[in-house]
Amino acid sequence: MSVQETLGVGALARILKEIGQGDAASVAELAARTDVSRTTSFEIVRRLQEAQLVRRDMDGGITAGPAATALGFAAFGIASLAGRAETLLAWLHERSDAFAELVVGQTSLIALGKPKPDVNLDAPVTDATGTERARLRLAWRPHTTQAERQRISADFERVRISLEQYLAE
Amino acid sequence: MGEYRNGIDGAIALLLALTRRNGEATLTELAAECGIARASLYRIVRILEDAGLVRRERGKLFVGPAGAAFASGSARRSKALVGGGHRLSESERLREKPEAGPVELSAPPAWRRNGRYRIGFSNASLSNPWRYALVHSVEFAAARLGRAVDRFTIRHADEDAAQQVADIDDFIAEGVDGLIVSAVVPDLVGPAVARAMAAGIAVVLVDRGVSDHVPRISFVCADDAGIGRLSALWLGERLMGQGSVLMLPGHSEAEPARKRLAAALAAFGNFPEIVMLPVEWTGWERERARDIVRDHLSRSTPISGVWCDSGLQGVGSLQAFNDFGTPRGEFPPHTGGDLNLAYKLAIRHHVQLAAVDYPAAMGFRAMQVLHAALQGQWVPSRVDVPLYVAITRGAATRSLKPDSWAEDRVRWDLPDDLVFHSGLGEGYNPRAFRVHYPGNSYNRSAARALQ
Repeated sequence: MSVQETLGVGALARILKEIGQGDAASVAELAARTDVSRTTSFEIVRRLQEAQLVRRDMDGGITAGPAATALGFAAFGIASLAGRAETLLAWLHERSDAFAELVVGQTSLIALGKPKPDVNLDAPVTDATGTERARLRLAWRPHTTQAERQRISADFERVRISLEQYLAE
Repeated sequence: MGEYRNGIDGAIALLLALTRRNGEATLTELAAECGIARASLYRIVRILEDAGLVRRERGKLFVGPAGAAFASGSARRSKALVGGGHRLSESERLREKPEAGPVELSAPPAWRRNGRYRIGFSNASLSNPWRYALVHSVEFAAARLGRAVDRFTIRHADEDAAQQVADIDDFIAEGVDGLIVSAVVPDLVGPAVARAMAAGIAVVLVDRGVSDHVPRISFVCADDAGIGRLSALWLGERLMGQGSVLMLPGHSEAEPARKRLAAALAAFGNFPEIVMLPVEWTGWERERARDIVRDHLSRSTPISGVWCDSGLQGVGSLQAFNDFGTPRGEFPPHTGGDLNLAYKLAIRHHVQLAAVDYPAAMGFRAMQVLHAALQGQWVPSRVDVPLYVAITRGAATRSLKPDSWAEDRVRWDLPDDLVFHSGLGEGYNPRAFRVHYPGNSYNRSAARALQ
């Protein structure tokens, strides 16, 4: 690999790291923050876009793409849940108006709603070998009736088995 | 084996390969998969490791903390896109039919562009006020998307399936990014929907679906069986299991109407002593229902209760009883809401009414789901918009409790053809509705004949 190529990889690494750290930024902003030339930055972003590691929003800002999200989930050994887990947790949170969370080890990967001191539902999400890969947690609002709790518990279980189904893929 | 062109390509290939291996791989595996010489691979790994994108441990490569950071940002990015922001109320939640099994999701369509979408809506018809409310609801959602919509076009098929197929094919030819379809006849429109999906167009069905085997991104609707079941249970309980019921369902070729009727008939099975008069389809037309009921009244048919799946035709029945001179308070109990006039007539004539409203807000929700899919989100394969129940005061039964009393829901200050639960807010007036989105002119709605 030539010196030029080495510099290119370094620029890519800095740009990708910068994108993972914050909100959308223009290519020019990324170039300034990472000390990469604008020409090189545009080329790198183009290649990252092709690979779906980044996307442009409507205003031209560069954000993480689905491939980057999958890379992030792969860090926790649950790459196949990328994209799906967010939708499932959002579905659960909306329907229950409860705090819903997906945790891997000590890391809260997805947390929707206002955290509560106590968790009411807490269940493992296991892979095809039965190994726990994540935990799904939920804390309902105060004064949730017993009948509502039953329905919420049913939705919780549906999300849990959905996550396990996607883990097995 | 991958194709290695230069260092940047190699780095990208390595990150993607590491993802495919669920975040753990040996360098030998990665070198082989990416087609990178080992020496070059090591250099790439060192650089990515310095940035925290990968890390080495025990001879293997893993995703590093900078790579892991992409996971925690994903929920924040998707939260704004997925979901309609509607929290189910307790009664809505408890009214839903319980479901088990996984939540089915649809993968997003192949990425086309970021925002500035061209969207089409193929609407079955404008044959009644509810359909106007549906169109208004979709238009309102398009307007809310602002610059994300490059152009939004609506075509009405006037209940002509062949016309709708032609409309969808026109949308395909125009190269829209996304399409919302309310199907005239599922079996006839299904192939056109399949063609759209095959052309890479994201299709979201609303209100009326197509056959299950036809690919689509999502189907946004409401629990038609619930409408039939709940309204029938209410009526049977109000009649205390006795008497005769006149069945006036909607349109015989519309899937929602057939589902509601089937569920209602099944529910009436709980009341074996109720006499079911023959089913008479109304096409959701007020005057047809009026004629049917007028005919029965002229023949002195005993009618203890009237089951309608909507107030669209229910108002015709109420008007027929009024025409016949039925004293206030002596009308049989009716089902069927949706329409402001149904509430007005029920209250004026002291009719016991149960309205299980079919939410026109599903139009708004369909546009939200489509936009989320176009933005690269996984979306639920089916989205049920909650039903809304209004009952005249004091007429609740064991099986059906209201979200509000009809007397509190009715809008005496708004037109008779106002359809509730459109997602357009308390000030919505179908006769004064104006909206702006790219593709319409003079802020006029594509459904404006009522105005």
